Amino acid sequence: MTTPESPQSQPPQTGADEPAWVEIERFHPLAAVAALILPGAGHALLGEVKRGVLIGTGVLGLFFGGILIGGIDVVDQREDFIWFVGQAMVGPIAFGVDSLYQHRYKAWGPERAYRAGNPGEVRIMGVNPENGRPAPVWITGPPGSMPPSSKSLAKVNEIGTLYATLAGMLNVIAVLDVLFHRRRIATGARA
Amino acid sequence: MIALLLAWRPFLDPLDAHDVWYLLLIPLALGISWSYKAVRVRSLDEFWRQMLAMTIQTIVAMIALGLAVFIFVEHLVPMILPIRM
Repeated sequence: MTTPESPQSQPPQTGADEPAWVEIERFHPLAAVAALILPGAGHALLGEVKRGVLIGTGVLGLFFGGILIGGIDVVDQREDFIWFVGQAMVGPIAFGVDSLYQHRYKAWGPERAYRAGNPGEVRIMGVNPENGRPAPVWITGPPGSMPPSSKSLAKVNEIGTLYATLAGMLNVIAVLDVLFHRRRIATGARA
Repeated sequence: MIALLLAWRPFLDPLDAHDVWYLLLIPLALGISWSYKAVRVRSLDEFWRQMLAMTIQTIVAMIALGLAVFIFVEHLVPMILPIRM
């Protein structure tokens, strides 16, 4: 698992009551891939399970916190691509949420736009206006009907999107940390 | 309010927090500090103290920046460029 390609040892650090230690940097590509697949998994794979759990809780807490605030609409590859690039750094979970939103909660409107539903609309199977194939469409429903999800607007949308994107950015820090991971090793000697 | 909460579907509908949106910056600062400090602290014994300190620093900095921008826009800019009707 670990490849000692470029260990960078620092001189032993000593304190009055602390054991001497060296810091060794190693390159861990597999752990970095694990961290990209599931936030925190990279550190857990290197034996730092508690740190991995804390990272995973923080990153996924921010990501799902954003969805809780702004609704599923904050993860939208089609309408907010630049923001989605940041959110994608959370890993397959972000792609799964986006896929769920695109395929289960959006449909073609009468204005030939693939979008979330408006209040009063219902989602039924119809025809894709671009290629004539079967696809979900929005039609006006009975009074009081609601679409399966609502579009978020204004500050709540902005903050929800920010939460989810920052989650991805913070996972990048975790991935880089695990890729060039430094571990303190006590030499056992005391000053 | 109760009717709104009953109609709210978590994770599908946005939270009706348009009037108190700035309060959502507090858990945001907490989440950023949590994730960052979980990676950066050398010993996890220091995690809670450092995470809390960074959260408070971030919130204080946001309030200070907000005040600075408010003073600049509301007071300094009208002094430099008075609005003439």
